[in-house]
Amino acid sequence: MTSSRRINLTLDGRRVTVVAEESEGRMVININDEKVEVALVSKNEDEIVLKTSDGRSFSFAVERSGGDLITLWLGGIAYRAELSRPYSATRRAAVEQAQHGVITCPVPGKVIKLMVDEGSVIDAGQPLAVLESMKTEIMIGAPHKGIVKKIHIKTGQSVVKGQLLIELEPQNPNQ
Amino acid sequence: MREIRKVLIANRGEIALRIIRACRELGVKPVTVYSDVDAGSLPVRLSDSSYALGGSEPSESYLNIEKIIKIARLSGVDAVHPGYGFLSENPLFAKRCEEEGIIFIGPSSRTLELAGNKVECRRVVSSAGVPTVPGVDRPVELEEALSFADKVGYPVMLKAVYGGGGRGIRVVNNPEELRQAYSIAAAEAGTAFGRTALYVEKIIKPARHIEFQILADRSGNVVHLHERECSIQRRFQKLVEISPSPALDEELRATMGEVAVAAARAINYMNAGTIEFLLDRERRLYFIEVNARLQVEHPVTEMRTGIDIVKQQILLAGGEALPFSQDEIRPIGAAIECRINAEDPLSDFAPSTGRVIRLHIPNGPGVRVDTALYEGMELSAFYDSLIAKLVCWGVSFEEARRRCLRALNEMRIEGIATTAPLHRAVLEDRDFISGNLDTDFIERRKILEKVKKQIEEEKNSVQLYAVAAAIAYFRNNMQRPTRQEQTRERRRIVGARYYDLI
Repeated sequence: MTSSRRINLTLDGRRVTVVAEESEGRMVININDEKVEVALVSKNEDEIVLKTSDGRSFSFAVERSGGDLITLWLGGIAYRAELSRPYSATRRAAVEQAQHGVITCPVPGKVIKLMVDEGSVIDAGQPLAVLESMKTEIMIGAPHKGIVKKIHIKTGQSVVKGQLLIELEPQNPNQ
Repeated sequence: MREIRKVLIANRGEIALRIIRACRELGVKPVTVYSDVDAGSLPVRLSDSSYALGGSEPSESYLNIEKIIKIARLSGVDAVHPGYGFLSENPLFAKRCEEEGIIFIGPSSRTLELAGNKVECRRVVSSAGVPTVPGVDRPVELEEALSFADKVGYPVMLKAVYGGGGRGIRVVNNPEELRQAYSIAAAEAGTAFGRTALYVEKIIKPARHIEFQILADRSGNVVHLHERECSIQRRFQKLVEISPSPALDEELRATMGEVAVAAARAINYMNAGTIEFLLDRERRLYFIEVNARLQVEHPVTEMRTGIDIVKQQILLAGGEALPFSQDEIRPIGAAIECRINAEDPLSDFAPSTGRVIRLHIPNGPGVRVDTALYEGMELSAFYDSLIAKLVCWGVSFEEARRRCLRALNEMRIEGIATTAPLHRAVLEDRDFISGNLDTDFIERRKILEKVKKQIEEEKNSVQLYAVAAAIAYFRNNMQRPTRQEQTRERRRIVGARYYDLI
């Protein structure tokens, strides 16, 4: 099963939004227009080893600096990554609304991809649409299992923060 | 002649470990001393007994003559090995050892006194027929320095009479700079070497830095172990040393070797030492100074000659005669040493401190690494930034060079920034490959700029993978929510329940 998540990180002081799709030890990372696919070879408390699709491997030594801040070391070069966890009020509202079947727009931007139709049966985490904001691709995933009730957007359309995007109908697990 | 059975090593880090190894192979018991921050170090762990010096500042610890003498007496050692740096060239320390009847592994205190006085040493070797860099042969006041510079032409070098190891040197380009630099340099020399005296020398440029390793026994037999070229320097500090020098042919090598031996004889040299020269474009050689100690780069010579210089030091100090004649010393192949320093190439080579979180020392054919690093080691800012010496041997210079690159790529030192990227840039430079070297190599070939650019490029290409690794790490190790989130979550649940209830 593929799970797709959007993660906000600060890398070496620069904020980035990453869309990470994971399945069976493979991971596809999207930042801006760049995309890499890696296999997780080993992951323990102080080392992450990745293998790329062209056979290269990277073994990062990890130093946890407390909180959500870690330093990844490779070849004496440090990459400082911090997880931005506290969501903004808007995002939190969006997440909460999504739990009630309403998906609103988290950031101002443009719809660049729609992956479902009205009536589609969807799984939790399934990508529904992709937005582009400040050259960053943002994946909108399904918050839960269900059926797409209504789509309020079209590919290419500009959207504003808080705008209604998609309505879902929860699927009764007993049915 | 007195057999040496137990040696006190008055040093730390990789050189202390190197001396322990020589002791072990000779069946000599090594005793170490350590400062507070070095209490868990490899030399402490690998020696037979170890004594605390207290404090971490060099002045309190490895430079504290009386404390070290006291420990030497207490532990009943026959000899003291000073390593390099710290007290290694301090005539007072050697004298104290002599007074206490402890063998100082190195030249006599009188030779150290002479070698440490740069102008007097110049005068003595010069009178033995050794060519020296044009300069004054006594300490000078500002006015004399100015008139000397007018005579030979600027730039000139202002040097501390009691300096050494590349410190206490200033290059001045005109009379104004000389005037300004004089008082500053004198003050600095006073702080660093305890004496303010200065002298001036002409600058030989472009020039190669070529030095000869010397071994001398107590009966006055002196041999040289051929040359090392140390032209690749930054701020008068050596970065890469090679042997043989591509600039020498057999004839010049023989001449320089003879001159080096003559210089050593002129100052009654005993034990291991190094005679440093500059060689200009016209292949004229100029004596610079005597390094009256074991040098950082001694493994380069060991790799080519098969002679263990540190073991020889101990044997010679014990009164043994040199076991080989000049003709029996036949170096093979080529060797290169890269000094790996804990310095950050991205912040102008500022010392880098921190914890070594991952360590992999390269290995394989022709590779030697002298280091006292271990995983988990905390690097402090108290001492020299040299943390490892990568020395590679090859049948040819090219094989040694490729080996060095191969080993550098295998090496992992994580948790601190090091000069490893700089060595990669040097080893891949076309002038290095062709042997076109001089003391301005680093500036002339814009090595620092290249290193910066390479690191930036590397960072850019690795960044995405770093993000993937960070996400994988966060996923696996940071599932526990932060306290803030826990509170928020609780509120949400409480709110929902309340809603459910009504």
